[in-house]
Amino acid sequence: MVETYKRKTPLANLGLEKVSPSEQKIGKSLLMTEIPYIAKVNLRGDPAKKIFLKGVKAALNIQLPKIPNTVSGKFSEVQAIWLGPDEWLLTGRSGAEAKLLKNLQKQTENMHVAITDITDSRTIMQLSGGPALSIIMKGCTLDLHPNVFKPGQCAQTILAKTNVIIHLLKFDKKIGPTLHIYVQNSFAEHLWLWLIDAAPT
Amino acid sequence: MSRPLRLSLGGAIDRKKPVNFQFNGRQLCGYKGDTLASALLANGIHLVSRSFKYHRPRGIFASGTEEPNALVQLEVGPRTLASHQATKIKLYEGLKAFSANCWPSPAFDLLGILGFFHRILPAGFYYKTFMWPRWGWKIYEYLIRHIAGLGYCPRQPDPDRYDHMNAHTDILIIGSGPSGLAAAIEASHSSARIIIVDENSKFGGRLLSDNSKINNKSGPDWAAQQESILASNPNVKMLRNTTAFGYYDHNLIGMIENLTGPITGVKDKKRQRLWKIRAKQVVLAQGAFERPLVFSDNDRPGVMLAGAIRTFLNKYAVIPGRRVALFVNNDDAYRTALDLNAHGVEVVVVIDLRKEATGVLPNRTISEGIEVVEDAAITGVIGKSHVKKIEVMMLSEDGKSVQGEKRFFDCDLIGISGGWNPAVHLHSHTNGKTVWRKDDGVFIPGKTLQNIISIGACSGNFSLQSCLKDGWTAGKKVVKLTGFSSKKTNSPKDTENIPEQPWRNIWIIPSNAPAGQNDKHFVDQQHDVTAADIQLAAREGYQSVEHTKRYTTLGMATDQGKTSNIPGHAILAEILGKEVSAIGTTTFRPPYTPVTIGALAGPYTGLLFAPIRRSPMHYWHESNGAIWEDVGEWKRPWYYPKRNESMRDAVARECLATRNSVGILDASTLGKIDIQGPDSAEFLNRIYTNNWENLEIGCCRYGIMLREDGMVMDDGVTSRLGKNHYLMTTTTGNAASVLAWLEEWSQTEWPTLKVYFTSVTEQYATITLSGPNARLLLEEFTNDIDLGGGAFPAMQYREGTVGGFRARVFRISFTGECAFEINVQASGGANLWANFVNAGEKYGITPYGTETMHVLRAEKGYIIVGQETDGTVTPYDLGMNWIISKNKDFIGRRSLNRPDTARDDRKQLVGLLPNDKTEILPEGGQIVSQLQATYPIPMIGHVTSSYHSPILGRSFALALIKGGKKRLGQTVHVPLVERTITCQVTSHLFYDKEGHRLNG
Repeated sequence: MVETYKRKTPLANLGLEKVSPSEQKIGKSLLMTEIPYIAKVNLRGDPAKKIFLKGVKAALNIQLPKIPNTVSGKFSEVQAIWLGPDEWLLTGRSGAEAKLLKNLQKQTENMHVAITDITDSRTIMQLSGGPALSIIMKGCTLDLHPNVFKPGQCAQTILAKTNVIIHLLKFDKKIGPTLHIYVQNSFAEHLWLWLIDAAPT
Repeated sequence: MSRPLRLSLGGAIDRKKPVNFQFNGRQLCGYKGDTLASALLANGIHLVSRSFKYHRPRGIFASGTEEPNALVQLEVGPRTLASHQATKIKLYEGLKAFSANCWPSPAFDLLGILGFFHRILPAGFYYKTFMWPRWGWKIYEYLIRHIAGLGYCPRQPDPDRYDHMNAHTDILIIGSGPSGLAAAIEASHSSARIIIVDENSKFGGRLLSDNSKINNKSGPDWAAQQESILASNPNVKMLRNTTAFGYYDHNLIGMIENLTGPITGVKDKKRQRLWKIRAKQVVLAQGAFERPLVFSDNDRPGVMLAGAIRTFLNKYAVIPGRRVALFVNNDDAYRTALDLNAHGVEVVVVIDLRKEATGVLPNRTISEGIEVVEDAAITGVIGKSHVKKIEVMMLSEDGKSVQGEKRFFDCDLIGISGGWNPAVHLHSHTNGKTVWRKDDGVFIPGKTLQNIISIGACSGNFSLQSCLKDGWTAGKKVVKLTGFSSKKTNSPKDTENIPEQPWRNIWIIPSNAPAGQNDKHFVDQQHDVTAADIQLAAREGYQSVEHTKRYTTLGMATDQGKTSNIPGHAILAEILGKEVSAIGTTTFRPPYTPVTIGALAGPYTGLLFAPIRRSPMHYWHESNGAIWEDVGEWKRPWYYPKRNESMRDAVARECLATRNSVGILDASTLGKIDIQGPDSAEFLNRIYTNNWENLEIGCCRYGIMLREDGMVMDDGVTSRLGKNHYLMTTTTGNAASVLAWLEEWSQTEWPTLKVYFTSVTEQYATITLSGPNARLLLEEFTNDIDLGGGAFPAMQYREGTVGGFRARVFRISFTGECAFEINVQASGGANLWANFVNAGEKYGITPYGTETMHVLRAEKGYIIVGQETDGTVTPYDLGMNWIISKNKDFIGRRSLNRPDTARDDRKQLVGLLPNDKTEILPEGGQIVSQLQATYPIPMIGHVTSSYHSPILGRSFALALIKGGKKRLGQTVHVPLVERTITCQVTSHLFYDKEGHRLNG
């Protein structure tokens, strides 16, 4: 793993690291932070093949989600986000990508799979607080009402003209929702500025 | 001073909060809760503007969105708003409004003189009157455009910010009058999600204007009670100050919410929010608009809809006149007489068109001592800038003429009512049909394909009792339709039920002379369309309402004919001797009320206008003075000018540095697709025109992909990383579409091929070092890759460590020089780039942009998809016969054998050298083989790329020319507007023809 000082997050230009997370509050009740460098691996394979599912389970210690638009595992450890009938986005702790890749390759040897390191292709924006979902509704046509979009669910959609994956981690009655937006590096600054503009002041 | 015009009690205004405002420079005062219209009336001001065509004085006619007359220019400077209805502007401190369409003042307007020329300004006058001399129209048009129009637009950019919001709901209720409220209350007993909207700041609709009772509560009190019940329900979202302006497919409704009271800008607040609401069921409860009567000089200030008088009186506690005459055709309007009388305002007379007025309300009116004249009509209005007196005559038996003695009544306000028109606008937006109800002559909603229930007055049920009943029923129904269930609730609430007698519709109220001869019977007041104009149109052969509308401009003003359409259409039908139902009504289209462009744009302005894609090295480029080129959504450095350097000089410097030492390019934007699976090679074979079976691991190959029609779609280099593992590169602009193309063929045509695709465009930063010193520089950064020409030849790939990063290094050259493309993880790109630039200083390393890249590749005759190709170019046309395999099938192969694609006189790629070495051909310039005196000269092709080459010391170009291969050595011409450039046709390879430099 490369030393962090040699790396730059796609939002580096905004100087976010200079402000402590608690100061990054937007308006009254929204907390918005970037979580860079989380290990990300794109996995493709045939879930109809039990040996594949077994191999992945052995490599990750979690089951791949079979229900569309759901997430299995824990963000703090290993997580699998459903992207399509034969595609998942796996995440792990920062720096864990090499180990993830190695384990997966080992457990799926000689199978028709595609295991691709995409750690640096997207960054994660974490939004938490009451208005988080309604801010997203300003630029996204999906129905994200709590009755419909529940913790553990994810969605691939367009937010503010940008391709994103949205994952709702939890919905705390007091704090409100906490969610992750996975956005491609090149769009990250645009999306961040858009979110700041959309957030209530 | 006589009694004030403001009642001391009642209304929805806050008497403790006075609000100062200016009208035409006059300092005035109203109250919080007022509209500009109600505040003006409370100050005794009726005359607000001048009309569109004749510049006639106009006053406040209505009390809401249907207002045709009282238009003002609101505020000055960049926030100024043209043609805004005084009835819709909420009063705020410091408001400044100005009369529309008059100079110097509405009372004395110089263009009022136009009224005397009305005979030369009939319907469609611009087709008739200003036709001679023929060249004159340009002058007339200029003058007419100057005189017409009702306001001006700001010249500065809009300083306000706007918001967007999407929402989904089970039930959407539009309108919060009695029926909308009842529906919402009923539906709220379920767990369905409900949104209820109203254009006003308070819920209640007509309940706030009328003196009615529900459950022994006053209308406003009952509405407030329901509003608070709804507000306490978490499933109900209430949108106030929100107008539904358009109903689109699949129950998508567009709305504008006003977020700030004043338009003058509230710090940190957005002015408006555009809502896009997707509903499962929609309840339309928009109410109805009162219908005017078309009588002589019915446009004078002081003529007002009878219902609007009640609104001003009951909702705003304003007395709009001291001596009021009413002119009606129905019972409902008698409520105005009763309300006025109750507040001690003198009602001079009620003129009723009906042969007899024997209903409950007329009887009550008579019993209160008010004179009611039946079977009569107003035949004239005296008072140009304000009503002073009316002239009344009895109607003939058929109601088509008047007879008997004239009677005169002194008055300063005329309340008129011709019945009510359901507001079917939103229903109509869905292509919903309207049905003519002959009994009272109204259009009510008919069939629609969307999930709509129209209730209350907008469905033609005007009485309060039927509105409430409609609401309860609809509330129950939509709960069921959306799959919810509700608790048992109370039956409809009690309200007074007063039976009403039928209306009498007389579409043109007769006067002494035929309409249009002396006085004017206005139908569309905002556009100055009179009954005579419609008659004229009919005489001239216009039969369709749609044609008549366009000819006379009836209903085409900013109010969209909310009050004028039905009377106008009925008049047309009468003249044509047809039923109104037979001629129909014009189609209502969105928007229902004007929508600010800023609201549609929302946050997508300035920096957020469109996504800007930034490469990992973006900010190095920016701080080193890059001028950007937009490539799709990407910003790519175009060139990096040094101080005071021109583009041409900068590009020449970058070109020479790369050819003579080393240049560095950010190629991160190129599309990169990771391909894995045992059938990858077979898949590539089918996608690309050349052969991929024999590509060895660690090697790269250039490929071209065609569409089914045989035309070039994209190109790029694909490398074999492992046994079943490839990396494809695409052009920057086609990255997403090529991935979609691969997925489409894989999923729909060749599902049996085992191959997976993953986009890795964003995973890697790509840095290209190019030039004779590229290898020397790179050697400093790696010790595990042997960069020697023998060990690492061109079109091969190695993996190793570069500058501390895991890297994929490719010997791919787009410049013709020895070049290395280095891919490292995106987050490391900026670090590695900066290190290359620092270490390369001794070689004079020069960052170069897309322009230099284009020059260098063109010198080598390399094509750019989208520049040398335009979707009509085959690989043969590009002289790339070598890339087309004869031994296999691929997409587009069969099309290459079509007679047209096999022609040898197709446009083919060639080089051009202008005879004058300093002349740079314009790209897109048309090429001819011979100059001749007569036009047109046959064109044989066009210039696709054209530059100055610093290394060649001359201009050069690439071109597509018909039968170009056979024209090598010939002279051709590019005729331009002021000169002609003559050139020689050459091969499209200009520099280092032997390719020695590639190996460095």
